[in-house]
Amino acid sequence: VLKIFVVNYDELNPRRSIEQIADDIYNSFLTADQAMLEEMGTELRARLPYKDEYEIEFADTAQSSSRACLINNIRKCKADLLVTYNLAGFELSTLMDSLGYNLVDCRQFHFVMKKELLQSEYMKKEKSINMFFFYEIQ
Amino acid sequence: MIDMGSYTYGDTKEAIIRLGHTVDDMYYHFSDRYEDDFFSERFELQLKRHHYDAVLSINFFPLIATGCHNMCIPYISWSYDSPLEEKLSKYFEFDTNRIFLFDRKEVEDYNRKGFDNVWHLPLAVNLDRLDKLAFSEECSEKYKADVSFVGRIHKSELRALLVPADEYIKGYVEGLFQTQIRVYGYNFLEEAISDSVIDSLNEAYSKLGQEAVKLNKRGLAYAINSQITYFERKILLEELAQEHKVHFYTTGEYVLDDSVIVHGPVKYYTDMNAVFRNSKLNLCPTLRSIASGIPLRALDIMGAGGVLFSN
Repeated sequence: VLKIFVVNYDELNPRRSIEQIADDIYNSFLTADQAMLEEMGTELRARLPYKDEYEIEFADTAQSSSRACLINNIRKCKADLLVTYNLAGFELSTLMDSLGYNLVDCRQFHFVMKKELLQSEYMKKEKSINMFFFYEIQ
Repeated sequence: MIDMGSYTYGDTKEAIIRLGHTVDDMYYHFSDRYEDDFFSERFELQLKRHHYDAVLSINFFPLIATGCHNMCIPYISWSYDSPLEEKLSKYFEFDTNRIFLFDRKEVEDYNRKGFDNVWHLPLAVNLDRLDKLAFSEECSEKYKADVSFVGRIHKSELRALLVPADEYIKGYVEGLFQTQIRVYGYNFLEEAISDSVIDSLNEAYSKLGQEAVKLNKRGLAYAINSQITYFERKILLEELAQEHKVHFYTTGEYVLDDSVIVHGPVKYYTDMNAVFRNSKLNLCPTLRSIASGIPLRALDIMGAGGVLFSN
């Protein structure tokens, strides 16, 4: 089983179903270039092709009570892969003002569909080598 | 340069660039500093793809040392932690390592053990950045205080370590604790802990089936020092709070009298400096395990233009 934790959309974005998310992850693996595949590491590369074995869990950043402790919740669930859409949760920062997601110890796929987000403050900050970005600008 | 979310990373990087070097960043947060296949694979891939003259990190990381050794690239580490975890020294012997520590006494200890790639380098802060900081009236008012302490009340593992010990050992360690807490300027714990005490403790762990737990003099001394630091910080805060308004900013757990005003953590690059500059007195009770170095927090306070009160 590849345990996947998804930080689902905020109120500005439509939610994706589990099937759509699984498709997004699977397709991103299929279309990733050789350099990115190497960077994902042997273990993740070996497990991504088995879509039937994805186990997907959600967190909703729109819920204010869970928003503040989102990073802690993600760390506690010990997922193999963290997935976000349109940089949901990127506003959470560490005491050194770096991205909160930098503290999460698992591989991360971030799907960005909005062009303006590419110029956002978050994208200018230093990002963990755990993070992989996929751009599907609409 | 490899960033693990270290306090001094940004300032060190700025200084390196100012010296005319070019820097590539790699950010990573270890869940296990000794074993991490993803990091090891990814790190060596990075070293293969690019030509680097050296790799630098704040604090020493065994997997970086191993990767650099495998790829024959010098690894420079500058630590603000002291003392270093003992098992790190297993990775010190690589000829690619250049290890810099801020506590001269700790450096001398490693040099005596035969590590000639460990040097003394005091810590530093970025005054160019700190001098430019300006705080709004609102911010200054928010952090105005008589006495402030930004830090943690370190919890020691001493009590847990002594659970299986007999009454003699418990009394012996209590005696060491009570004596060292009254002595400043000289830490005698490692010298005063006898081999028989360590043997007896390890035997007690074995009887409980805890074969993996093996204590040595340094480990026990560290636990006692941590316990002393815990008591000193607690007493200092609570006693001062009887006469003054004492503000404590922390990320850690604490058990304190209600007289101490406790807050959550403050941001390192912004709010922390506002605390230092707007407090009449800033506490920095040094960890007892630091024998001769000036800790980073003391420099943070002075660099921000705050008044430092330390031991």
